[in-house]
Amino acid sequence: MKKRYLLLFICSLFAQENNLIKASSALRAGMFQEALMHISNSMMKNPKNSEVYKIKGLLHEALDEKENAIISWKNCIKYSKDERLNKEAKIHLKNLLID
Amino acid sequence: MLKYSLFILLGITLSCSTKPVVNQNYNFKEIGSIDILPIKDYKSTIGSGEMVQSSLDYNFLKYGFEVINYKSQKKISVNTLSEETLILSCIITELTESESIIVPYRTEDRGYTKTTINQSSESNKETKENELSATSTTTTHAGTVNQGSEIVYSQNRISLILTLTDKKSGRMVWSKSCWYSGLELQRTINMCLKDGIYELRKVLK
Repeated sequence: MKKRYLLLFICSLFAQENNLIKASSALRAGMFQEALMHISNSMMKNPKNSEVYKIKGLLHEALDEKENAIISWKNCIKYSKDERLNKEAKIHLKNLLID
Repeated sequence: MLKYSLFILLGITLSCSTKPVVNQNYNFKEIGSIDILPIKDYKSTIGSGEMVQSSLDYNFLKYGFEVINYKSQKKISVNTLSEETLILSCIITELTESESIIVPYRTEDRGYTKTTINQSSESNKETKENELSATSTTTTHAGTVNQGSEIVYSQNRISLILTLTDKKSGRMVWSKSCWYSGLELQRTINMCLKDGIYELRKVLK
């Protein structure tokens, strides 16, 4: 039973690593929809990473998905303890809410 | 004196990147048009001035202004009944193209505390009373932090200073600094100027 749990844990770690590699490659290639999918998958393990919410916000903006971008930036502010990142998120939120 | 006041105005603008600085004594309702000064390229980034210029035109059009290309100079028509003219200058103070960002990704296992309570009741024949006994075991498991994975991406960043000066008097009447980050350069410039033109529209209309 313990072995099975250990195997599952190792598998989930590899799957996450794989998602991050794929997300980085897709970001470099400008395949934003694909990158978003892999980032969302990797976030299941750690849904409180403010920097990843920032990337999600930027990706939604690049894809013209305004409502989703607003949600991501709000989450970025919620989980961030970094003042610089908070300021950046607030600027993005302000611009997205202009229209 | 004019230089001194311009220096103060610029200082306030730079320190407060979101709100524009407005000369409250100036009557913006009398403005007929705005001349746009050619935007210079940022350091060695050839074509950056033209990119900002085209984005500026786009944003002015988007917010309902009339953009006129007169004798190779850009002009924004605000009110045809008035002849007062303002000069708009836009300076690119920062332009970072494809800045590589590495986000360390870590997963946290915060551990857990397990408490097991065993309860049993026994009847004492001598005293004819029921006795209740309970034992509890608490086990605490420390969490683990796994680090090593990372997301690598590149972002663009632009900072601009927009300034309006009265053509006749040379008085600086409005100024705003803005910055924005994004994955695509043109969209980043557009979003940065969107905020600037939105604030400008507030004082003109």
